[in-house]
Amino acid sequence: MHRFLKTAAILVALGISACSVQLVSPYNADLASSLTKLHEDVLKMASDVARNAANPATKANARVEAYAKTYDDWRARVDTMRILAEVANPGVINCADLMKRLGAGAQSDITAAEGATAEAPQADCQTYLISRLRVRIDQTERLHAAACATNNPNFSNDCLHGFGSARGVVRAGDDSNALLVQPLLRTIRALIWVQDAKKPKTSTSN
Amino acid sequence: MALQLQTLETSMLKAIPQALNAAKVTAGDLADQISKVLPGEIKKMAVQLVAIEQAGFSQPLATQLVAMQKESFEDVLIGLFEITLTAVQALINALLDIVKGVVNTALGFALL
Repeated sequence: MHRFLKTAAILVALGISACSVQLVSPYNADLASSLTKLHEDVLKMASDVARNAANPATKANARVEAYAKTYDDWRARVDTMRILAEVANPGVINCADLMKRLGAGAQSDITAAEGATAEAPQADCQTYLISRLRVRIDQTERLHAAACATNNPNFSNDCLHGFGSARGVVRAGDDSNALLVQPLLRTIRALIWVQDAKKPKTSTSN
Repeated sequence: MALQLQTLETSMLKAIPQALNAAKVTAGDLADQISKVLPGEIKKMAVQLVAIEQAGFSQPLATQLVAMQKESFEDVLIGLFEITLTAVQALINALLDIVKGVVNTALGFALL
């Protein structure tokens, strides 16, 4: 905490001489629209998998192999988002380091076990979050592979209802649908809110 | 015009309400953002954890999905931290603008 206050004091001092400080990257319209599009595409993909899984004739099309290009496309888009974020990163905050100190956002068991890493040197929280979004895509792909394998004895529950409407669940609107993609959607939403908070406010007065 | 300490001090003291107002606006924006995001996500996660438990998923799949739920909730907290930093940045810059205005006015030329 002492180091944080010292850093804050230095920032304020630098700010007075420079007349403004930049702790976070600015709003980026391209990033915001890419995130909204990705959110939409994840929902579309989940519906498509559920539709294929529901029909014995198309069941094999629900396998992860049939969606390899989709996952590759998402990864490429997230990598591009990361470049956009890195370019605008003011380099003041090391978010991964900060989160570890706060005891949150540290590399979890699941991520560590998979050998994946979401950490980046001196990345601000937006860039760090985009790195974590990529990990979320990899994790979703692995869930998809396990749930929709044609030899999965629990295919109906895992694949059909995992990507569609879960069976035997008390309905709670869309929140309880497509359970296998919900963590990925939540991470995308977190980034959408960040962009929304950064969006310059337009005056409504005349 | 030479900078008078008394003039600068008086001007800066007069600017305090303006600075406090800037702080209030920023804190209000931040509170709005957090109240918009956090309760909804907590509710969604609660619904989804119950659904995972009831859905009859294979045990390894359910275990992995619960771990992902936890990680994605951490992502929400990281997002809120970035939103907080955005608000802090806006506050510091609003305060700096006030200081700049006061000093430049007192000096009679644009020093800052």
